[in-house]
Amino acid sequence: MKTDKFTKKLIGKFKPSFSPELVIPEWNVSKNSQDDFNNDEYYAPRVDIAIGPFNINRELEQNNLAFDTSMTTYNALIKKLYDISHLGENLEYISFNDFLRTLNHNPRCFIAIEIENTRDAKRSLGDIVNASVMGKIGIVIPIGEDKYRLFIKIKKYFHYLQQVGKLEGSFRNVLIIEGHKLINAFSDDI
Amino acid sequence: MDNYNDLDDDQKNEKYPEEFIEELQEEFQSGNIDEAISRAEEQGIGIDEIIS
Repeated sequence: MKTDKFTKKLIGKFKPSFSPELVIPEWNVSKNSQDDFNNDEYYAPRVDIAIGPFNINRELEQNNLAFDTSMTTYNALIKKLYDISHLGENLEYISFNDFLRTLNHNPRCFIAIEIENTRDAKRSLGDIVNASVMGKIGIVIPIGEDKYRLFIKIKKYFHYLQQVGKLEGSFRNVLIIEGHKLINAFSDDI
Repeated sequence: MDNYNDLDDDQKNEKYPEEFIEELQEEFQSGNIDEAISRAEEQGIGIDEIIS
């Protein structure tokens, strides 16, 4: 089932907050790569929506400064995203300050967003992984309450795997936000 | 009396606007989101109304 129209609507909502050149739908994470990441050698996913700045060259230190600037610029927006996410609902017991400490130190973009409208658990698992490793902040958007509950279970699964030593991290930089909450958040003044 | 399910979208929106919005909301929540948005747009209904 397609999500193109929803993606377009969402990007329209982002316009007042982010420069248009920073918001890319269907972003191929290896496109225009100037570092070692290429899709000849590695699997390279497409993120449903990527928001820059981007980190696709070898200037990690400089790019991280750009990410730090974005964190300051968009602090109020990030807090709002946290508040409307599963973390704001206290479903994973991570405070906002602790969440900020879990962010990705080598992301490929500032915010990586994956939209999921199926009940396919393996796809949802991949959504969390891609959003987490590609974005400084990852956002997954389940469409429908049943899909939201599925994502919460998968996050708990990752956390359990980490607790029992089967996984080093548990993708804690990911916010799970229901579609209508995200649309409404960007309809308000942020 | 009309049978709601036998009506087309124009008729549903004209005669039973609340029920029609609910139908689109359900379609959206079920995951058929682009179709729900298209049907809403054709009737001049904003996305904000069908996703809440």
